Amino acid sequence: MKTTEYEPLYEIFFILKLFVTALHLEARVFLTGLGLKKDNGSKRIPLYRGGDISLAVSGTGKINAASTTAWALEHIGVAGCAGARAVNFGLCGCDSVSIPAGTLFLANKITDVSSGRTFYPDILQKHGLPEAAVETHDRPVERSGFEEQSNNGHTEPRLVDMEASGFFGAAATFLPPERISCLKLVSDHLEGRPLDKSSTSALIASCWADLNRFLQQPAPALPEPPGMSEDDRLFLAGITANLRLTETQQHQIQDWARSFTIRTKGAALPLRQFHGRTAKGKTQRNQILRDIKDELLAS
Amino acid sequence: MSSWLPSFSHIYVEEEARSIARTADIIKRFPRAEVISIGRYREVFARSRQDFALQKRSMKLILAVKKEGLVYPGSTNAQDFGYPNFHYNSLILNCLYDCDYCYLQGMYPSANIVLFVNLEDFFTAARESIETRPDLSSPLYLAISYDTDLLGFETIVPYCREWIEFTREEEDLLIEIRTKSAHLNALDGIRPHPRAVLAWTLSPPAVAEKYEKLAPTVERRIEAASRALAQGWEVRLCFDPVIPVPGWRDIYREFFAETFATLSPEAIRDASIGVFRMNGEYFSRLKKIRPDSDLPFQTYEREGKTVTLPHARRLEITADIESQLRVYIPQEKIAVWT
Repeated sequence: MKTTEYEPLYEIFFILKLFVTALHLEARVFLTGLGLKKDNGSKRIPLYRGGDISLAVSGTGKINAASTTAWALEHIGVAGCAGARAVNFGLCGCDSVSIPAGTLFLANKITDVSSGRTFYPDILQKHGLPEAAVETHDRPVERSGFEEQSNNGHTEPRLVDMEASGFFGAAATFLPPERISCLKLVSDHLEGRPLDKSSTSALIASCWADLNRFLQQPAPALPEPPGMSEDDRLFLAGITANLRLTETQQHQIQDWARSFTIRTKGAALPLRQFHGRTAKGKTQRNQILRDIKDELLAS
Repeated sequence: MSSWLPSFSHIYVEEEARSIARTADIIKRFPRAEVISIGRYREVFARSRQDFALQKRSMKLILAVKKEGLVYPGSTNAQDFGYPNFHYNSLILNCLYDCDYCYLQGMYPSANIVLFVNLEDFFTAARESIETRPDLSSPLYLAISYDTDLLGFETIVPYCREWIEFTREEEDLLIEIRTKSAHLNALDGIRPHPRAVLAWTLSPPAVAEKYEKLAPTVERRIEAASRALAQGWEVRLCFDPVIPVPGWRDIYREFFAETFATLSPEAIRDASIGVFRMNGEYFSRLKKIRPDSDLPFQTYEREGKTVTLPHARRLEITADIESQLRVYIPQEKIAVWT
């Protein structure tokens, strides 16, 4: 079977903290667009960074994709950041010739063909891109043979790549499904021809506007509820220490304080009279705790 | 312009569900939806790390076939209204509305809607439960709208209609359809049946506006209940949960007065009252899911597996609300969860 050669540099992962600002495939175009610089500290995995954006180049195949994604999310340390997103951008083949090369898809289902495992991103926000399911194969595929596989009578285009399942499976270890996306650009129709670098670069450049728009979109989020001020946090920690509250009591006082903060839309805790108070025993401590509770839940 | 996709922008369809004609009918109602084939519904519904609150902004629909658990025994957190053979089923998982106090958000890993299309299997299971009910002197009392709001889905899938007709055929079946929907028109053309109870959950406007997001206003619900009574339906009113907001006594007193100025108390089949209660595990999740709500952060106690208001507070509230309700409805028609 003839194979479609995917250049290692054509599989790129954007690990985004806060906002997506752009992406990259044919490196010069996207690195320029995003203003990313090579991170020379990363020796084995090509890594580019700029602001809140990191871009890692994995090489071909789902194993490379998974290991690069896991490495990047772990070591760059963005997974715990609010608004962190992971986006995989790569080329794919498409079984339908009616879908022109250069069409950019957002994957709504990713199937790892060899294991049968499936992944589903949570697509919650408008994105303006066509969607399709992606099949991740272990090796390049071409039309002959592929068409013989059952399509279950479905008429949707089938996209074929070699990385999406590895990327998604690894990213899902760190991030919720609404913050993981796979963008796939149709580069061929499984003809089995080697990719032409210059025409591929042109394809990628032509979808830059769509990519950039997608990457600019913030991760789905709800307005932050009112939170306690740092002063109040410290104050509460002081009360907790002074009164030597049990673990259960610590949870209780946190809940009451949180309830107060939510109800009052972030007002300061009305606990100044408890500043520096200590208790001589359980009875006194419990009484003070009841007073605190009354104060926090009454208002 | 909202950046959220509309609910049901994506419909996930189990392969097995595709062979059921109802599936195609439902999909047709959403011509712009992305339809995605799946193996089993849990592949989507039970993914890890889903964000229930975010998903509520753009709920997806999952069409599936339920294989087991087609009838469950009633929960102790629910009221049996004196019927010994109390059961419920889950035709749909999750709800179109977004109530702060809802146990579903603690129970399910996802806010997406799972709609089981194999209705006939549910009917078969119901028939078996009717046959095997412990107390043959009493009907099988089946709540069909507990893990969802079935009437709210009636324009998507006419399950209320189908169940009412099924109930008409099954002499030993009594169904309750609990709802906050105002869309009674969805039952147009169907004759009321005395063993099909339409049960509206009602809260004072101040409570509903704050804690019952996405649900129809309570005024519209009362209006729907009023029309149902006029059409001859059995109507139950569920003042449950009673939420003790500041000034709750006066708020509920005024609310009852307004409610029963519209709804004839004599025509009401019965009513229920109860305070907030929830399985302890679900409650722990609720607190994480709803950092925007003060409701999970009130003072509660754990009694066995249930989290609820402290005992004395609970008795005080239920006694007061019950006495207020007795002004309109006789005690024997009031079910109280304590």
